[in-house]
Amino acid sequence: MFAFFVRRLIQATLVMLVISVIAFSIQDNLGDPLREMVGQSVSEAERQALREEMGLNDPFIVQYWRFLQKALRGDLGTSYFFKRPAVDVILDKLPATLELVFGASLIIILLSVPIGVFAAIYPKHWFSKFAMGVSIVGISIPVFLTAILSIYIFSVELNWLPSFGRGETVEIFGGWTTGFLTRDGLVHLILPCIALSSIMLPLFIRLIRAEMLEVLESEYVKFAWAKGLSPKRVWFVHALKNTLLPVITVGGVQIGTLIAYTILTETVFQWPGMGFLFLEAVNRVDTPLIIAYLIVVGLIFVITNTIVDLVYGLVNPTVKLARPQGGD
Amino acid sequence: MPGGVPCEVRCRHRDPQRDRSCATAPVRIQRRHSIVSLLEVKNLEVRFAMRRQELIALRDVSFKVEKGERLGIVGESGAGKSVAAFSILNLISKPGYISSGEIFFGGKDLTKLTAREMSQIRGNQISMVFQDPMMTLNPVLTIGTQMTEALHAHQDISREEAKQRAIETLARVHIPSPATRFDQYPHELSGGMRQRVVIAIALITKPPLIIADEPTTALDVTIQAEIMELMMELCESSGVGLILITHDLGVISQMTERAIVMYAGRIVEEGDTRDIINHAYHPYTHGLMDALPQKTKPGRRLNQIKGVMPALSSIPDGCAFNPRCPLVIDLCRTTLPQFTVFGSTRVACHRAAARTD
Repeated sequence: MFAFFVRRLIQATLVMLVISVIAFSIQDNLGDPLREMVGQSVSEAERQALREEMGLNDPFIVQYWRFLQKALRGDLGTSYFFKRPAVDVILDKLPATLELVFGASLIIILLSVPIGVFAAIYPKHWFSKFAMGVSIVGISIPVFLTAILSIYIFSVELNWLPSFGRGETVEIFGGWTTGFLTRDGLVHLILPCIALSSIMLPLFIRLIRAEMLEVLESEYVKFAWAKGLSPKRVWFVHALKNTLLPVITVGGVQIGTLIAYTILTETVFQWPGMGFLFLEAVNRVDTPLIIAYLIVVGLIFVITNTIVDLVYGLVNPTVKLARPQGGD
Repeated sequence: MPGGVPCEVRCRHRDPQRDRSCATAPVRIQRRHSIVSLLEVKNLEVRFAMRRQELIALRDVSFKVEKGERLGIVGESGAGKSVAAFSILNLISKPGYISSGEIFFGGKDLTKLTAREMSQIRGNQISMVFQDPMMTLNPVLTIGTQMTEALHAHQDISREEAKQRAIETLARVHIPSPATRFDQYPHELSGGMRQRVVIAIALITKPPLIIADEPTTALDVTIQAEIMELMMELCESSGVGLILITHDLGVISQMTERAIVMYAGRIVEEGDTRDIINHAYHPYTHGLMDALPQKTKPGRRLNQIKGVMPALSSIPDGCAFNPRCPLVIDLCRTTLPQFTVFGSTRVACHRAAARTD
């Protein structure tokens, strides 16, 4: 277990280094940071002096090294717009986004597993055909369209659910704001979560169905039937566990995609999260904020994937997390 | 290769007429006197409903297995031997289904059972051993789980007791340190060990009949012999009936008392293994015998039956074997041969009499 952790930690560090290089190299290509800071009334000579003083004339590698050292201390620069450390600005918005992703993941897991499994066990049932048909449509409609359509139907026409914002939130654990504990917060979560899950849910239904179909044809499932086990045991003990192995791996990667989609969802629903903030930062050419966003999201991605790998190792006995006891 | 000279020695040894102390002797006597067979398959027909047409994989297959008897089913790939075995437990993969016929076991017609009744027979009354032990065991469940679940499905037994039975059964199939193996996963075992585990799973409920579908095909030669010896030992010591499906006549001659030869979905010859090996009537059986390596001098090319078995969709009129048969006459091309009885054997061939010499 320990060796696995060390290996994963080294991998994660490498990934983070690559992300930081990419994120940092944006700085030079997204407008002039000096203009964003001092405006246009400063003379060219003063600009040059400031440039020299801030080290903006240094070679890339020197600047990157400086950035890296600061970043390791948790300093990713100061947002031009908010005049506050970029990390703090991002972390303020983190709970909103994570709750959105969590809600959407919950919808995806709770619906895709039963529907996918059902569609594999009874491929000819009308519900399976219906689910497969709807899922194709679901995959084909872009998230922002689903979001706008759902606002139109449930907020404008039916007036059942609020169309924007997080609603009432409660602060827990000092600084973490949550919408899960108030009725108003929960009601506000419904539409954005559905919209966010609308792409991934059909994808997972189809993935689970396809995997399950394959597993149901396998020799060990046939052998399980030959043992006279109950259908429940064959489906849920023998087949489901093997079905979920590849799904877990895909799921880990897709969490990253889900976070990327929050940019669209949060924009449509005016959700005060990181994605919405990021889009604003891009509009304002708030480079430190953009870089901080990329790095924080990269970190979330690396952490979730490490956890997913860990879970995978626990579920799949053929993956050895630890060296065999008493082994070499 | 399990066969050759030692095989023939064994066959003779297994012959109760010559060796009364042989363990098979009482079983044989039982067979001759029993009134109701352990398993009786009558006029079984299995079809595969394909998109364009219905393919008939099994036609008019009838055979019996007596209590404690070991029956071999032999034939080339696609002859329908596996379909015959799987249809007994109604485990044919879709789109295959039993279109007509009866399968009597324990006074019941298995083709008429509900899914629930069928699952009470499977693994409890009739167990199966599959071909490839690398694929048969579930990779994410421990050996112990996969063994005890078969017990829990059919018997009211405590976890502790089930574990005890599983470890005992592992010991019976000669798995070293069975208690350790109980908690291991399939990937921690070699192919031969896994097949032993599969056999242990088949045995754990003490069923009267085991169906083994090419149980050694996927194993290497030395392990093959070990597994065959083990199955032989277990069948003889516990009086379990065995249906052994194989394409290896050497294995059939070593392991079984009676043999069925199948070709293109039909039984073409059936009889005591000894008689089939020593005096086959059907030209196809002859061809299979001639193809055995020990029938050919070293350095020579092995004999083979020329041509290939016809696809299910294009089985010729008359005797299905006629395009490949060395003894073919016009009658073979038009008329399906009926069974003729010669001693212990029955054979479906117009030219069988030509072999009586």
